[in-house]
Amino acid sequence: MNMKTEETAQILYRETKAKRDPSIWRRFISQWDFQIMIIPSMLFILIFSYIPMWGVLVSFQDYDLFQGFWASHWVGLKHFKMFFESPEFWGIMRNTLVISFLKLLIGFPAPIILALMLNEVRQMVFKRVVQTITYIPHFFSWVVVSGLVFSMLAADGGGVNALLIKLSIIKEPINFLSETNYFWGILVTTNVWKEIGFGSIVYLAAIAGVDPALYEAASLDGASKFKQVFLITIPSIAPVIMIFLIMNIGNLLNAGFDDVLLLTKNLNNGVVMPVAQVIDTYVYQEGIINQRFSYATAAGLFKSVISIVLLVGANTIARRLGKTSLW
Amino acid sequence: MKLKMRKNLSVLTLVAVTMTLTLSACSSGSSTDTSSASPAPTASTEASAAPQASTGTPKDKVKPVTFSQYVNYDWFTALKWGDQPHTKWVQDNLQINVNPVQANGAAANKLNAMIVSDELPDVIVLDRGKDVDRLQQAGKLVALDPYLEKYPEFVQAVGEKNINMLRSSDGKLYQIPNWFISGDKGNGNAAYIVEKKIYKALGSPKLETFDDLEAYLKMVKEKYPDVVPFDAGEMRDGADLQMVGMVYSGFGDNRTSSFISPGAGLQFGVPNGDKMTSIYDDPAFQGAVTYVSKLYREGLTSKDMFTQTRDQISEKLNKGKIAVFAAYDSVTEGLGRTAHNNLRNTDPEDGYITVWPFHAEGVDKDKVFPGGYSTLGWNVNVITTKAKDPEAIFAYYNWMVTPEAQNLYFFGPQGLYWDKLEDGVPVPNDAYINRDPKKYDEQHIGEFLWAGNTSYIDGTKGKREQALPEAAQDWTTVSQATVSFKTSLNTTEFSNMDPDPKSDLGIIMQRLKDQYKNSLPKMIFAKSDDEVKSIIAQTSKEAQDMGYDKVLEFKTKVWQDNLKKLSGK
Amino acid sequence: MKLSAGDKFFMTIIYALLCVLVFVTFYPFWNSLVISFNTGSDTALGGVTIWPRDFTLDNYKVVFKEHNITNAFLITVARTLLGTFLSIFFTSMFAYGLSKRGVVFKKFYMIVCVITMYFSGGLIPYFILIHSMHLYNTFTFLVLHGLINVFNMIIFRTFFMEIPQGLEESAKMDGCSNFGVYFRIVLPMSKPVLATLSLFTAVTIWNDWFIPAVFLVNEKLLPLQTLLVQVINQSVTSQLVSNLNSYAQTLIQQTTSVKSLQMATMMVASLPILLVYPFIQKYFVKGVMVGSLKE
Repeated sequence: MNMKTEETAQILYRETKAKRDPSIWRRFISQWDFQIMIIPSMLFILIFSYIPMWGVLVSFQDYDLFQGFWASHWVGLKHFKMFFESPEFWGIMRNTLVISFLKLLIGFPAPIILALMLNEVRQMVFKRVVQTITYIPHFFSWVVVSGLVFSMLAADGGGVNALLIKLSIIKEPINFLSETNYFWGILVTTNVWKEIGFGSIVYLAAIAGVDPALYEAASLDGASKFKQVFLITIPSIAPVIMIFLIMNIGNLLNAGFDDVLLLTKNLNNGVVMPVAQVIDTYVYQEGIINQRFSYATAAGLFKSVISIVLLVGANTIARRLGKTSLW
Repeated sequence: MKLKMRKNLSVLTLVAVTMTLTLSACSSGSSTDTSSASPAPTASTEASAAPQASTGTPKDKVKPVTFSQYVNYDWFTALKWGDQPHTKWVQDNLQINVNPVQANGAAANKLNAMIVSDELPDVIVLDRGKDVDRLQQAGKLVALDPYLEKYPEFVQAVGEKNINMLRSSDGKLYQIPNWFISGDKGNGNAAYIVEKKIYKALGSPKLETFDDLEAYLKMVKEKYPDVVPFDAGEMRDGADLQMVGMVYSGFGDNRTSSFISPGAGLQFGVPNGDKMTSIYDDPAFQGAVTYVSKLYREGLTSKDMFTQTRDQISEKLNKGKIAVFAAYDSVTEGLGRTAHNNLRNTDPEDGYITVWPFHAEGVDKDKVFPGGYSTLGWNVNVITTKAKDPEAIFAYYNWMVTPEAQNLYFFGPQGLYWDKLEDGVPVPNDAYINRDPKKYDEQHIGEFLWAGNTSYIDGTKGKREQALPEAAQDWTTVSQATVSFKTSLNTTEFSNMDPDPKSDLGIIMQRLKDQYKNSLPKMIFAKSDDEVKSIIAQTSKEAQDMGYDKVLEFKTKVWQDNLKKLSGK
Repeated sequence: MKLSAGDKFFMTIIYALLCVLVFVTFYPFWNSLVISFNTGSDTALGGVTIWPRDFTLDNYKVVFKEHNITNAFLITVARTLLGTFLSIFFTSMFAYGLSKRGVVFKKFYMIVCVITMYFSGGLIPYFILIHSMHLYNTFTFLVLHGLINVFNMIIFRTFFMEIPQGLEESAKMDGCSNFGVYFRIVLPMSKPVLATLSLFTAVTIWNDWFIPAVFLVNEKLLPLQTLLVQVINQSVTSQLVSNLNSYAQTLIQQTTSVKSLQMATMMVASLPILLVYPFIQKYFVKGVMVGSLKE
């Protein structure tokens, strides 16, 4: 934490120094072409992302949609306090972190493993078929996927129960959807199913960049295919994996929205709600349904702050370990 | 002679027009319209001395106008105005055009966006409650009081009581109700339906009390192992479990399912004496939950009660795989009628029978009300300050509630599916009797009717059915007339009981909702009657600790205020 | 290359797992396709699996009879092509600038960008901005929305930073300007990344129904996905709507619409974009870096 403030101070010092230091400006002019590549996009971001940022401050007000920003009362940390002191707070945080963590643990490696497997396939036709088909579920909306899940996991004649009973694994159908124990598993599994194909595309692109000569050399040295994957492929795409991992850790509090919303039947499946409510669905419930606009913004802001902290933390660790860094 | 008459007539018209113009210029409402703007002055147009006096039929008072209309629901998309036979008629004959603004699946956000950018449409159709309140408090709505005298047909159709109930906190009227009920005949679609073939095969036993039901279900389970003995409609907003709601109505006199539901616009409190009391303390609630829990334990109900979708339920119904089905809308086209007709197509002796609702021992069977209705209707139309000619819009709605307009919207224009009226009821012609149901649906008759007059339509529909040959009679209409309309409780006095979600009480209400969502399944899945009892007791105590009492106080006050409004202030 | 026993076992496992995966991902898709060609009333009876039981083209007819369908399709294609091209063009250039060592203010730029990934003012302030810029209800807005994607920028940047400096240096020694190096050397080398991120961007733009739903009023500007939401909504028959009493109505959800129609709209919505990938697969070919200068 200390180092972060020190770094920030250094950055600020350097930038302010730049304003007074003519050589910085001379360098700036000499790099005019790179700066031109950058500046239009920066302007775009400043206009479309930073001007609306005042929305974040709404969490310190009792914002009234009709009166607008300038006329609404300022209330300081009232909404944040309410959020932290609400009985739902700990449950929501726990669910958010657990679900994210499970998605990370299982959902992050899955596309990588798929990409690695596909890379080994020599049969081009089979490979193409697999690639094209596995990425189809990405296009299913969660409305459709949740419908599929409900019908397959139904206790009365659902496909999964029917299969398990036929294989004599269980005697009585399991009520998957009405028990808290299964919710996390169902959520993570459907997410993996939905995104594994599409997610593997990036890694396949990265693997495509690996020099085939390396593989030839390794097999001449007697390494099995299995070993080659670990010694060549994975290290070669390590930077890509690291970047995605860092960003995913920064995304840890984005435990999901559409999937949770639909798999809990619009937050109405009371049985699983204690393990299902995450920050984003809570913000939706309070902000849109209950119109507690400022309160919901406060919860959302809290999430953003924690996410940034996680991101900076992960990036710093990565920087100490290797060369990859987001900035 | 003729010339003189014509001259007199034109002088009279000139005087009439001038007087009306002068008088309307003094009116508090709109500044530009005249009430006798119709091209040919009708015989009854008189230049009366009293300002804003009602002149002419409602249709005469309608002015050509074009306005935008936004319907605030995610699931709704308006069709193109003028594409249906009835809207084309309105377009051609009254020069009225409606330009829909679509929610496109993002209603709440769209409404917020329109508010914030001041791009509100002229008319909004939405549920009563928090959205109307906030629009009204911000001064974005046009008060309708100035028009009521001039357009008395509206007040007559809706009824003074309803108008009082619809007034906002500042005493003014902003809301035009949709599907309001002005008589005392309620409507409702809640009923139990029983699969015919199974029922007959098992000897058509008596089905009146819950004990009868349980015995029947046991027989079904024994003889038909792959049929679900007892099933109910899908779970609704606020975790309203239809099986419990329906059964609840039979466990006490004058109970209806909305009492125990925490959904928006419903009560979540049981009227007892002159107070609203905790549902957990209600013996009817306890009885109902214990009963359903017992049925679940004995394997007599569907295990997927809390999670199945409407599609799954409808699948089972259509295949005749449910012996007894209960839902708030079981007799409607979407569920009961389709299933009934499907089964009947394969076997004319098969189908579903609508039965009188079950009741517990000691409960008066005529005081069982699974369904409920509010005379205020479903939702409301409000006119925003963006409308350039609010009076013209109101004149249009004023005409819409008349029998003539209702006939047009609901049954189609004259000459299409009906040629003459008998006692004011359109007599279906051959085109209607021999219609292709699909083509008929494609014409979307009934669309854009946002000021439905329930009493008129239900009555007329019923009479129309009787005019049809028996084979063509509608199962739904018959079920409604014999059972569901009669077992629906008037819950108008229990309207507006939701505290503002932003207030402290609103926050408590949300917690109570969450608690209910979580405890109800626990009660149903309990392993013994005693366990059910203890869970209820525990939930009751926790609810009290959370502040349920304060919420009930609020609801009691609203109830008492409503009663005063309904009895005429 | 001779495979050892261990290798053969390894490959068998891989093929087996991939087959299972293909089945699990393909069956639901096939089932949906079958249902889309099945009549709604028959589908409601359940049990339709691998072949339509009551074949019909009606569901697709409903979709294609929709007034604006060709219009919406054209809008979506235009928005996707234009939006993707502009987004990738500017974002990749942006990333290249930020990937060079020694660029002044680089850290500042990066931090400003990353912050936007986590902090956002929300829909309402964004809406107010767009409205005040008179971009409300315009096609221009549809293209501009989300033009610079920070996430993509970071991916590009990572990739660009991995390119050996020697390559670029040798090009500059040959007299290439910085822009020249970018357009003539770096971009062609980045085909896999360009292809991937173009696909991601195109898919996101193609699938977006929400932003047009809120920001557009002009029916002629609605893209395909938003229009299809309308199609599904309209299948809720007006009789049903008109018959609801104050009670039963609080719950009419989209599930009342016919499943077959839902599937048909889903097919129409996703097939075009789904079919793009097989055509760009060739950019994911191995050994793209051949002939490069080895460090």
